[in-house]
Order: sequence, then structure tokens, then C-alpha cells
Amino acid sequence: MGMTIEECKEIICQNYKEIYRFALYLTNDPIAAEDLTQEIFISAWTNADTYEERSSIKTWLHRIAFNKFIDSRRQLKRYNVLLDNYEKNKVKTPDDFEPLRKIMADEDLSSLYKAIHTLKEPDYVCIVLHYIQGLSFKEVANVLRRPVGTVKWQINQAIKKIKDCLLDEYELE
Amino acid sequence: MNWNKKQKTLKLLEEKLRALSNIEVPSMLEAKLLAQIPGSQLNTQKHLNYHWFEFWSWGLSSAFAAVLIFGIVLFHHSTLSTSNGFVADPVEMPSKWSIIKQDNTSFGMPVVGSEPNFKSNKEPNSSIKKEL
Repeated sequence: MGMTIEECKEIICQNYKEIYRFALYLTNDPIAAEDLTQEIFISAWTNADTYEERSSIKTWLHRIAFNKFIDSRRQLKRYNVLLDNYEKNKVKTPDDFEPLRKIMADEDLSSLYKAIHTLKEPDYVCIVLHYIQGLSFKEVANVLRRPVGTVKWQINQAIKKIKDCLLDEYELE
Repeated sequence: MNWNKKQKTLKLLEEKLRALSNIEVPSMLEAKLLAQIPGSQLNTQKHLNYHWFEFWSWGLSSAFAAVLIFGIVLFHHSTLSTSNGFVADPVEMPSKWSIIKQDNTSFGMPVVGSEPNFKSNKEPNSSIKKEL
């Protein structure tokens, strides 16, 4: 696909917020998310020929983002550190995590944010893509290269786990 | 908020999950991303077209300049020649020994090309001889 500079600008303006948000939920670090977002768009421009118009630009960028995150996590040490952060310190304080300040300020959302981070990564990514990023089941399946039925099942299971997690939390209180 | 009462409804939970998208984005991120667009790589066709245009415009302007300079030199040369007494377009003038004579057969038009007359009625140096 040949892209002009104007088309690239349009794609950035329409999608950079969503891609940054996805990168933020993947990395749990605002600075790493910013770096990852830049890498995603660089990768998009260099692989512009691989874009097939069967899927939307949004889906294509999300797939690049997820693949880039997986590759980076495998190859780069800093993403291993981020993975450790994800596993060990899944929830950070609002002061450390400025982009999520509004979420952390809300009690319900803060609880929900903690709850989704108790999920295993495949379920977590499905929840992020479907509910937070607003992708359809088909688009999520396209991004993750999984069957649509598997994605639906994973999301249902994830919702149940979130419910259980929230119930446990309030029962403890 | 009592999750025991409200979270049983899936819609509420989904609504809350969607509300997690309300994050802040760094203000400079868009500018950074826009600055990364590699125009030369993406606009390959445009770039090639530009090169062709550049090549043709350069070629045409060079050719025009060359023709213009040649024309100026030629014009200047012809002007100088005429002012020095030369004839730019040489026309063969009749020599002094050519004899133009009227011929009845040529309807009064001058005929060029008769035999040159080297003979003279006067002998050379005759007046000098007389003085001597």
C-alpha cells in the first residue's frame, strides 16, 4: 500500500491515542508505552506494504502493537523488566502512573483495574482489546490470530474471573 | 459502592470496563509521531516523479539557455561584422575586369562573364618617359 505523508498524518491523528492506551495497558509503564507507540508507528510505516485492506487500519495497528510488544519483550531486557513489573507490581499508585489518574481516582474503576490485572495474559489482552480498546470479537481474533470462538470463550471466562475477584474483594472488606 | 448488588449485571461491569479507556495521553506524543514519518520512503512514486520532473526541467532549461547564448553570440557576431565593413551574407561582386555589355538578345539585361580586357590604349609609364 503506497501511503502519502498526508495519509500517514491522518492515520496518526486518528489512532495514536488508542495505540498509546493499548501500549500502556500492555506495558503498565507510561514511558515504555510512549516508546512502544513510536516503535509501532515506525514499524507500520516500514511495513506499509503488508497492510491488507480486508482489515481496518485500527485492527492492523493493534496487531502490529501486540506483535511488537511480544517481540520486544522477548528480545529486549527492558521489556523483561517490565514483564517482571507486570507480574510483581501489577498495580501502581496514581502518583507513579499519571495517565491512569482519573481511573485511580474512581473507587469502582480502581477496583476493576486491579481485578483485570489478576487475569492471565491471554485473557487480559482479550479484555483490553474488546472492552477498553473497543474492538469487536472478530477484530480481536484478527489481532491475536485466534479463532473468533476462542476469543469469545476467553472473554466470557475472563468476565467470570473479574466478577469473582470483585466479589472476593468486597467480601473481605 | 456495593459490588455484591451491582456487579451481577454484566452490562454494568462492561460499562465500567469501557470506562477504563479514560486515560491521559502525553501532549507531545502526537508531534513526536508526526516527526517520525519518513516521507522519502513512503512517497517513492512521488519521489520518482519529482526526480523525473527535476531532470526534465533541468534539461529543458539547460537547452533553452544554450540556444539563447548561441543566438546572442551569433547576433553579436553578425552586428560586429557589418560594422567592420564585412558583409555578413557574402554576395559575389563583379570584379573590376568584368565587362558588362548590353546584348540585344538578352532583352536589355546586363550579361556578366565576358572575357576580361587586359589591354589598355595607353602604354604604361608613357608620361614618365616623356618627362625623362
